[in-house]
Amino acid sequence: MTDASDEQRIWRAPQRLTPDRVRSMQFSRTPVGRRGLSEEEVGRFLQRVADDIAARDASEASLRAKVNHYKNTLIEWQREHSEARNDELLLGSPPSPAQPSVEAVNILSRAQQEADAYVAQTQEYCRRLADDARDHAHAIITDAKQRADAAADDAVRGYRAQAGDAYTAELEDLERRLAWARTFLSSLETVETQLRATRQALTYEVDRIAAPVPEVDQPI
Amino acid sequence: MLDAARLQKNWSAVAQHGDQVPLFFYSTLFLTHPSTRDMFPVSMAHQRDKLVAALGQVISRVDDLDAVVPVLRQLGRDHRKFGVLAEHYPAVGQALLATLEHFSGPDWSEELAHDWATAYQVVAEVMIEGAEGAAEMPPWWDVTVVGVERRTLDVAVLTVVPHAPLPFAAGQSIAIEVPSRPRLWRYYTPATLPAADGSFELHVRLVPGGAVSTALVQASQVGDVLRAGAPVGDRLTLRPGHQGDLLLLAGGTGLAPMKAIVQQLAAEGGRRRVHLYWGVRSHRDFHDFPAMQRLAEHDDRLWLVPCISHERAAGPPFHTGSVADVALSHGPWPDHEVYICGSPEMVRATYAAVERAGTPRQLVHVEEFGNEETVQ
Ligand SMILES: Cc1cc2nc3c(=O)[nH]c(=O)nc-3n(C[C@H](O)[C@H](O)[C@H](O)COP(=O)(O)OP(=O)(O)OC[C@H]3O[C@@H](n4cnc5c(N)ncnc54)[C@H](O)[C@@H]3O)c2cc1C
Ligand code: HEM
Repeated sequence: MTDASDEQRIWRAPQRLTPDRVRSMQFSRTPVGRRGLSEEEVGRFLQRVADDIAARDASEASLRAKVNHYKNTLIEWQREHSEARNDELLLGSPPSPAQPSVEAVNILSRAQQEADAYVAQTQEYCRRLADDARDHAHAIITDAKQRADAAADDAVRGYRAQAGDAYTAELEDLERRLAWARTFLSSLETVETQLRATRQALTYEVDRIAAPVPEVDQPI
Repeated sequence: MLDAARLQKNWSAVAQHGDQVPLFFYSTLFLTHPSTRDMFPVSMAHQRDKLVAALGQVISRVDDLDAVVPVLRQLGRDHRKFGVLAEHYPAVGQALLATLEHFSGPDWSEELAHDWATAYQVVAEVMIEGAEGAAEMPPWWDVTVVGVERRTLDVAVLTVVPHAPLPFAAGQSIAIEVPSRPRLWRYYTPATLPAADGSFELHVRLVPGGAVSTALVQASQVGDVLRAGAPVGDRLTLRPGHQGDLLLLAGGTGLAPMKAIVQQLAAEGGRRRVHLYWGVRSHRDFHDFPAMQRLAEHDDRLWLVPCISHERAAGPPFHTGSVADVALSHGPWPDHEVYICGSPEMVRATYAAVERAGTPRQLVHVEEFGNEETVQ
């Protein structure tokens, strides 16, 4: 695609699905008003697919570990029972002592996968919180705009009714804008008041949590 | 002689095991060399296929190494910011070989082991050379946040000052690490050239649930010290010697490189004319409008065209429609160099439209602000 893209391609990963690819899969939203899949449901499904892939990977890994274990046992047995003959090439050489056992590697891998899943879950939760907050903010602004538009129309109607011969287009426009701005701001102020109340309640909670626990005589 | 075809065949067989391959690789590396664990983030789900896929693919192309030597040198230089030293390379090589052996099963042979080891050695040497060639440069720069402005619901403009000189060209990007998100490096593109005090601007969009962008947008405070990697990338830099006029197409924070480019052109005092189309969804998403307007007012070779895609534009100077639609309806743009930057979706759509309009490929320069790409 670009002048650098030939070099770029080198870094492309092989395209087998991984839990992470499934988790971060993005679908475009259906246009408002059209019917489409529920985003929640799709999200939950992807979560399950990701978990299933991770579980399958883990079970494959433990099977491989068993195979490896039997292989090594066999090699050892052969070494003990036929010192003279050297059949080892047939089965490959045993892992060098510096190599950790496949079991150890798999245990660490599983721990890592669990950590990955927790982090992914937390990120998903944060994503939903952020999305909700944004939707909420959009809704507040859209609502405030609608109220302001309605108030502006009212103001114009009122002005026309009482202006009579004194009517000018400039004054009408001024009335419209004044009413719009006043209503828009007061809608936002209402929200701000609500927010302030919420924040005060939260601050109170936080203070309570942070406050030193009063000394109480404990019966021992 | 190395048999590259055999390495590639072995690599694609191993890669069939998907995520298990990098899992095994990292677990082996961390068990044999515990100190390397601390270089990587807690969750490695994103990272996992990056390093291992790069290892497998670069190394199995060892017969065509000349083509990737510059990239490898830069990669080696960039690895210094992770704390990687020359002595870590054998550790990674051993873990790689153990992984390949484990997943190759009966296909593994002495010859394969030997070829992989030799090929890894070659690649590692180029990377180490790259790192040593940059020894006079710091492995990373500390930068202090001196300004934080939340401009829209999800975009913040940060001003940062590096503690040591950090020169870069307009259009380059810099990897940033935030103290509260250790080991997570993400690229951001300076939106200005260094001012007299070295400071420059970053325009950061919050990706919902994103680890680093959330920390930068919501939690940044004046006085925070971040880490910055060496500037990288040449996709959006100005080509030396080129004199044609420019058509810059930016979506959202994709404005950042364009703003820097405009500044660099002005500093060079050239005669190139610039049309900058900047697209967002709705009016309130123009996160840097007054500054851009001022730039355009003071520069009679710069035209700024703000575009709005999800709302009806309020009237001049705003246009309704996507950047591509508006810009192409104002065309044609013969002999213009076209620069495109924004989200992957915006870049893809814009590139396709520009290509359909018949612009020769070599005149189009693009960069996506996605998370999958490695710069370079
Ligand atoms: C060369 C380059 C330059 C860049 N310059 C800038 C810049 O100037 N300003 C800027 O704001 N960003 C820029 N980016 C994007 C930035 O590097 C990060 O990818 C972005 O901030 C998200 O990081 P995160 O840690 O918050 O998200 P992560 O924790 O990495 O991702 C969280 C989730 O969001 C998804 N995701 C990640 N990135 C995006 C995205 N961009 N859009 C949609 N979904 C995403 C992931 O798939 C994942 O599911 C640039 C990227 C590149 C490659
Ligand atoms: C031939 C050798 C190597 C190759 C080809 C290679 C390749 C890569 C690539 C392509 C990336 C992604 C870079 C980015 O996103 O900017 C990466 C990241 C990384 N590499 Fe390497 N690498 C090699 C050796 C090493 C060694 C020896 C170490 C040290 C233990 C190491 C540690 C890291 C770390 C810590 C990261 C970042 C991880 C993250 O961001 O999550 N690499 N490597």
